[in-house]
Amino acid sequence: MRALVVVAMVASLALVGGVAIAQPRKAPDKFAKAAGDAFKAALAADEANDLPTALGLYQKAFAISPHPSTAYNIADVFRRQGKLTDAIEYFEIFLALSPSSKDAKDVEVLIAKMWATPAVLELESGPPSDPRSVDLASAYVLVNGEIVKRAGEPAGFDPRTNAPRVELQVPAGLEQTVDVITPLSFGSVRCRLPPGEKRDCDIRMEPRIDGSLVVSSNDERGDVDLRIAPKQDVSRGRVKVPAGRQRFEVRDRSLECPTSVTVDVPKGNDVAYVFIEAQGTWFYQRCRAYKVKQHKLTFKE
Amino acid sequence: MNRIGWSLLPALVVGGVAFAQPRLAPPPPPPNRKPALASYTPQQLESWAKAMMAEKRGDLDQAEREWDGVVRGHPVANGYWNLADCAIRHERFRDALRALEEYVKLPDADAEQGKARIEKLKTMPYRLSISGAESGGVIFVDGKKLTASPATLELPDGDHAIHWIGPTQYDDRTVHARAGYDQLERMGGRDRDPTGGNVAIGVYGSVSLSGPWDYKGQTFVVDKRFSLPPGHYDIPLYEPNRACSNIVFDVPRDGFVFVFVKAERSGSRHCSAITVTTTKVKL
Repeated sequence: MRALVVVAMVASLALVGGVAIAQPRKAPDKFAKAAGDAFKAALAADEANDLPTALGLYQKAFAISPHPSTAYNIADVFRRQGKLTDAIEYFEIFLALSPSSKDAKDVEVLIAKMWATPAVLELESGPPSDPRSVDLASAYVLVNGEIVKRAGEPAGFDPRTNAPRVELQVPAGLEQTVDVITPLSFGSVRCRLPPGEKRDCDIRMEPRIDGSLVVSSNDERGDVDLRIAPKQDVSRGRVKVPAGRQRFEVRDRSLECPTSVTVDVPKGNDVAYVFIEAQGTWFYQRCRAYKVKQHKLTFKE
Repeated sequence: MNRIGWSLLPALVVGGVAFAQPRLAPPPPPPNRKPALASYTPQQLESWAKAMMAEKRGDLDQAEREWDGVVRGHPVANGYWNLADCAIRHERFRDALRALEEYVKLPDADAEQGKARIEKLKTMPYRLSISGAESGGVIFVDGKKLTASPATLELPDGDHAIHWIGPTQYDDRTVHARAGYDQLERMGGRDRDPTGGNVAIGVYGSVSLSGPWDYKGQTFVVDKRFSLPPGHYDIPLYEPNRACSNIVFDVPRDGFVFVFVKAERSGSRHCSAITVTTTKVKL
């Protein structure tokens, strides 16, 4: 991929800087010349691995006169700096300007890989003086319905505040639903977890919420529900339901859906967890498509 | 399941007569975007990239806002085209129409292509989304069983009788379909309506009826669920001479029967001419 970049850069340089053009062409205007100069300087800094300087100069060239090769190189510097969301944005600009480029497929693959790079979640709760502080050591933590920490796995403390704290490698996404379930309660928070980056996320919960079923979803408007009983729809929460195999309908903005979820609700301390991932836009005047993730969360007596 | 794709719609809507029969609406079309140009400002290109990122993660709401950012303050044809394209996939057809009307005004637009898309949107069939209060329901349009609920339908212009029969509930509506418009109907869920039963008689058209009526020891009612013993029924509608002919239907030993009665006032007579369609429904 890097070799292609150099080819692209050289070609770009020839165009914008007016260097090594064999046939007579219209002379570049002052903007093209200034962009070409900045690009050449950026290229030199890039070759010297001075990434901050290279980035600034590429951005200067792009701001004077946008060019797909410049966008590509900005993206590549961001990628090497570990700023993957910015890198993705500039690779998308490259694709927008050069949708039929021979590099387009490789760039699409690279974007997909970057989106798949995990993020680091620094989950923190309140200090012991806060009644809604969470005992993270006893908690399951799930990100978008996937378990990233089990109950009993250790948690640390913030030395300044003495607040419980745990650092977890998690799937990335621009907005992720983080659910925390303890033997006594449930809490949920939405956090931005860009790929490859470390982000703080603060969680609080009521000291006690009873029930052996936890329902959650990726829908930030809280419009996707499980119908637990007639006129009892739950979009996010912990509820009491009888133990045993139960079938619940999915409702989407109060619309009936052809999807239902069968859950084995456990007895005792354990909890059945159901995460509904709605796909598509809330605006559709009908149910969206769903992926349903389920876990049995086991807590020691 | 006779699905008709977006690409076939122009052929169907030529001349303003879209189609004759209600049908299931097609799924949203695939993207049909136009590329960015190097003449756009860096801010426009950043909005463009963010729109693409939002589209790829399925957030069409955010994508529409970003496409709007591409054209706000510095209109560019391809930005308006992509805004309209996103709005079409978002099923915000009025937004799409507005964006395309801006698109065709711009000098760098393909005006013919834009006008063709505008025409397609203006004449696209009326869409009716139906959702029932309970799952496992069946939708009838003009007395004909069409599909299970929930569903999004396309209906020809004019009035239509919609009946929804759920496992325990019943509901009906009359909708006025107009090309280019859409509507959502939530059906059922009214606490006062009776549930259960094995018969519903849905009446549509020019006949005035009020309350239940008795005939040969049985009680009948329209537009509600009720119970009848299995057997053959040949009964007047409400009272003799209200309709010009009787309603004839069979109640099966198992399952549910829906009796659709379409009534039309006959010119010189005092009774209404009726046509009756009966459908056994498995619930």
